[in-house]
Amino acid sequence: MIRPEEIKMSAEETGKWGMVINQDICTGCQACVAACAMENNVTFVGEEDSGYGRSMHWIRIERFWEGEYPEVKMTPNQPMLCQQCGSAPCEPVCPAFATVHSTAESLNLQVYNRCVGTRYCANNCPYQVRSFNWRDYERPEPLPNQFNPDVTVRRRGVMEKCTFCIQRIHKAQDKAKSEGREVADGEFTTACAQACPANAIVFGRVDNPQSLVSQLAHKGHGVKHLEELGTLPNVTYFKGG
Amino acid sequence: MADHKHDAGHAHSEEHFREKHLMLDPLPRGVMNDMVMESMTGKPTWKFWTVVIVLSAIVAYGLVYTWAKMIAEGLGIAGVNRPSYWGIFLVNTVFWIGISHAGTFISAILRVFKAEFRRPFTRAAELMTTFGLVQAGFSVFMHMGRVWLSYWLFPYPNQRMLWPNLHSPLTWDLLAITTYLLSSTMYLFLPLIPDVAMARDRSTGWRKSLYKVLALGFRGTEGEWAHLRNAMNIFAFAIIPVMFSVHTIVSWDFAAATRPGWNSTIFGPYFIVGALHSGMGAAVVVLAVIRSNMKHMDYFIRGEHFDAIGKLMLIISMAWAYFFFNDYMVQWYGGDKWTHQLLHFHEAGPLGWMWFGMLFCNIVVPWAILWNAKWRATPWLVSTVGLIINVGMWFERYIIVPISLTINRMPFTWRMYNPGAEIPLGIGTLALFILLYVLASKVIPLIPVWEVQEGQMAHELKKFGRETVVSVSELE
Amino acid sequence: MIKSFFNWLKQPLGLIAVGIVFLALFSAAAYGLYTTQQAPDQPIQFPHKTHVAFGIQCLYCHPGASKGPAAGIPSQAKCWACHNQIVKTRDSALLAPLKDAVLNGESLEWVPVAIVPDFVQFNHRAHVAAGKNCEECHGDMTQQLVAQNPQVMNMGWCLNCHIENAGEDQAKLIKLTDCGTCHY
Repeated sequence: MIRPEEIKMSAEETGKWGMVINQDICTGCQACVAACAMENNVTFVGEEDSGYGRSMHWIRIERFWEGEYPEVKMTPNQPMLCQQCGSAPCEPVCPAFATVHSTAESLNLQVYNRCVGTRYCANNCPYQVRSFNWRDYERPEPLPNQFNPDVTVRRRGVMEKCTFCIQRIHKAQDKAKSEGREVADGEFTTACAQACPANAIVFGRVDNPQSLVSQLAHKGHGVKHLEELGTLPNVTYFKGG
Repeated sequence: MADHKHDAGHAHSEEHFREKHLMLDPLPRGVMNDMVMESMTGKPTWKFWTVVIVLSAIVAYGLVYTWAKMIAEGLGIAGVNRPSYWGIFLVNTVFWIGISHAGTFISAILRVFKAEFRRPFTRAAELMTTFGLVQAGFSVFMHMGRVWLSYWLFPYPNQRMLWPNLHSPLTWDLLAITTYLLSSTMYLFLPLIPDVAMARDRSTGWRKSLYKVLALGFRGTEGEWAHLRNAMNIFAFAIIPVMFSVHTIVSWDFAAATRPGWNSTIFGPYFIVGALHSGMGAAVVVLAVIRSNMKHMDYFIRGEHFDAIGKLMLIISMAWAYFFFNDYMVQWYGGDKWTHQLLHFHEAGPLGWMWFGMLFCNIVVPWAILWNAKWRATPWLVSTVGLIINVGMWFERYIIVPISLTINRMPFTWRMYNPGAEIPLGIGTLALFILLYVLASKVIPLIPVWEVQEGQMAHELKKFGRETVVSVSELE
Repeated sequence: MIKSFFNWLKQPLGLIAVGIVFLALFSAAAYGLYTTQQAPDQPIQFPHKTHVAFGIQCLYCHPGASKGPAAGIPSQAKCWACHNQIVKTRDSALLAPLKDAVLNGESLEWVPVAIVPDFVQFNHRAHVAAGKNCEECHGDMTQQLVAQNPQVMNMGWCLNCHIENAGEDQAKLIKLTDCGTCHY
């Protein structure tokens, strides 16, 4: 018999890589959106598809109006990206293991070449941060020249999403390993964090209490979105501080 | 067991019984066999060919061309978008699986319970199961982004050391549908053997060679019948849990997701009842079409059959209303703000008419019409109700899939869904379903003659004084 | 018409015709498969065997293998630097394409032999650092003329080696069998 006090929530697990986003200093300039698209070969879908809700961004800036006219108030900009959940709803529903949890890096992976395009993961993602390749979008010359060779170029029928710039993680780990040391905090960062002119995005190891990102995350008034669903997200938001 | 009781107050004449009940209106076996053969082998009229050509054209454009285009260009030509990642494709999948349910329900459950009125239309219902499942399969494969890799969803040993994910409801779904398709096809085939053997002995040419293969050398000896009966019994019992599991698992595709409106514990039985609701409606439409378009069918399919199915439809409609209310009530009472948003969007959103239309078609129409025994025995009326129920049930699935997907926990992404290539594809599956049926009507005896003859042998009219009484002898 | 054709097929001559058609299709398919397994044509019939026999190390021409993802193909300047010094090769007809390319400032278009698809992020450095020798994947170059791929480089082949190398080390096994190690 289990007594109630013996039941523990497993919410204490920490991830490995995490992010802190300060909404108060985010200006909504979209530099992170552009940098992400460049770094990760995210395609441009064109006017028509974009207007129909098929634009592909791994990070987007959300903003809402609160209240009725003329008493309207603008909410702070909210960059929304894959929260790299510790217990992700997208993972169990994929029939092909195309979206799996990386035990090594504590990330939610999207294996493009295994994806068959059932789109169940996107339905089940509470944050709605997954993008689907509805077509083979054209990249006129010379756009293909700016492809990042470290990232797969996706084709039609494949789901994709933010990877926390896993190619940069691997590069940094590889470099550190070749020099026989650990990856230092702040040695590298994701494309969005690197591009942010206001330094509103900070990326790093959340399992290392000394890192900048965990010190910021434990400041107290941070919020994890939709935490009540038990998804254990690894992105902490600050606003109104 | 007297199935057809009659009012003690009115003494009915023998003619009255004969006219009303197929089981009490026996014809010599040879005559009946010839009637079924004639309905099948009669020279196709120009009407038949027009229907076949029109349907083939729709299938060629709607299914073959549009699907090929979608494979070549991507799902972009369909209307699915964020957040409605699943659109009419999944609506149609659920719809067709629902249609396929009535087949097994009529055939297996009524056979197990020895409901005598089932006899002439078990075959038509079983065909509906198999053909409906084919359309469900098409619909679900169509919606995949890279359908050419769909074999990855099947467990097979490979050098990548990868298997399908058994945590995913979609994997269970695929396994359940495959099991159901295989078992329902076998269950269709078993009772077909004696009829095919009958057809083999009465045909020539290509028909003879085809039926010779299908009949598996059946000659109708005692031993063969005993084996066949055993096999049919096993299948009739075994297929019932399969049928229940299939639609429950289909409902888990939705119920297992963390979405407002989907995450409901009652979806399993709710979907099963919904499936029976639309399936019964479809069965009655099929029967009305067969009866009015094929030779001699008004002998086999009579008002009593529409009456019987009409009663079932009424009961199932009530059950559906119960489950709908239960689902709605508990979700609303739960008070989750996203669920409230969603329920409000269902009724008052731009497609609110669909929500009210669903209630009208699924509850108001059947309750208003099917309570009357006379109306129930009118084929055109009951089949119209069946058609309306199917529209209503399609609405229900549309509300559950794309409309519910519109509202999620990220208001930034809320967006309406406008179908694109889904429409020709959906119409293509419907046309293929009808086409398969039309073609099958020329190849397969749509009436299980042996089952009818068996029933007629068991029924007897007896006279006690001035009273005529039906007696049914136990067969097995 | 159709019926008489099928009847014709049923008699001995027809059966032989069916057999011939079947065999022709089968051999065409087999030949098609065979051609996919051949080393591609290169602009110069480069003999690996000869170069290795002179004691040239793999890393002399493919230095990227110990430093980064791609092993690299030597620039033609590197080739020509040696071959220019040797009288026998300077004027050899076999090396004419190289000489032309160097003199005209064009590049030789070598065809990659050992390739992985776009969705596999392969890193030579990690494999060299883990103590793998070149010949374990690329075959014995002391015996080869034009480079050939000694094996099908598919995921099962990669995984077998990864699992073998991880041995009892669970952390290493997790890292080496993680999807995100190669696919992103």
